[in-house]
Amino acid sequence: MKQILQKINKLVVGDPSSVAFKLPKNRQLKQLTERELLRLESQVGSAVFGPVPQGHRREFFCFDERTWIWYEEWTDEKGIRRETTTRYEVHDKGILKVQEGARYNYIEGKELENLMLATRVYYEKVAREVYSRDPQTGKKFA
Amino acid sequence: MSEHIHASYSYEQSTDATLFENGDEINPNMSRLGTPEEGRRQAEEEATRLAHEAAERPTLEKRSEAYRQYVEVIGVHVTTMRNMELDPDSFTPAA
Repeated sequence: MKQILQKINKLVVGDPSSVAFKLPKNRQLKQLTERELLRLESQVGSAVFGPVPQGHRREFFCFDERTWIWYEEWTDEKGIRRETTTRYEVHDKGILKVQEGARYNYIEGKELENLMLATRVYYEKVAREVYSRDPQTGKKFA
Repeated sequence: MSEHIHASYSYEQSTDATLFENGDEINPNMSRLGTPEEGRRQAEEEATRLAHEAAERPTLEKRSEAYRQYVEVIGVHVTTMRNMELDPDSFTPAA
C-alpha cells in the first residue's frame, strides 16, 4: 500500500523537469464543447504516464463513465508510422481490454493496478488543470 | 569469482566421488537430478507456494473488484465534472 501511495504521489507531483500542462490564460472554459473538453483532458492524460517519447503522440482520456481510451502513435525503426488504440471498458465482471487485432481480455494484476493508478492521477490532474476544481471536494478554486 | 568456481568444482567432484564409492550404476545426469532430500524439499516448497496462492486468491479477487469499482467511480467523477462545465445553467458570460 505504501508503494502504491508513493507511486501515486510521484505521478501526481510529476517530474519537475517535464513540461507542465498549461491552459491559455484567456480561455473561457464554459464556452467549450464536449469534444474540446475531451481534447483538453487528453492533453493532461497524455502526461499521466510520464514524458511522451520523442516522435510519439499519445492520448489518454475518459471517453464516458465506463470507457477509457489510450491511443499511441509513433514511427518505428523502419520509418513506418504505427498506431494503436486500446479501449478499456468497465463491465460488472471486470475491466475489458479491447485492442484491434488482439484477443479481448479482462485485465488483472499489475495491469489493472496501473490502470487504476492512471485514472486516479488523471482525475487529480484534470480536476485541477482543466476544471480548476479541488479533486477532494469537487469545489471550484476561487 | 575464482573462489566461486573453485567451490563449485569441488562440490561436483565430491558428489561424483560419493556416487562412485557407493557402486551405483551411474546415470550421466545423476548429479543434476538431486537427492531424495532435495526432491522432498522442492515438493514441500511447491506445496507451500500453492497453499499460499490458494490463501491469497480471495484477497486478489477482492482487490481486483475494488480496483474495478475505483475506475468506475473515477469515470463517474470525471464525466460529472465535465457535464457541470457543459451545463448551460451554469454558463457565465465572460466579463
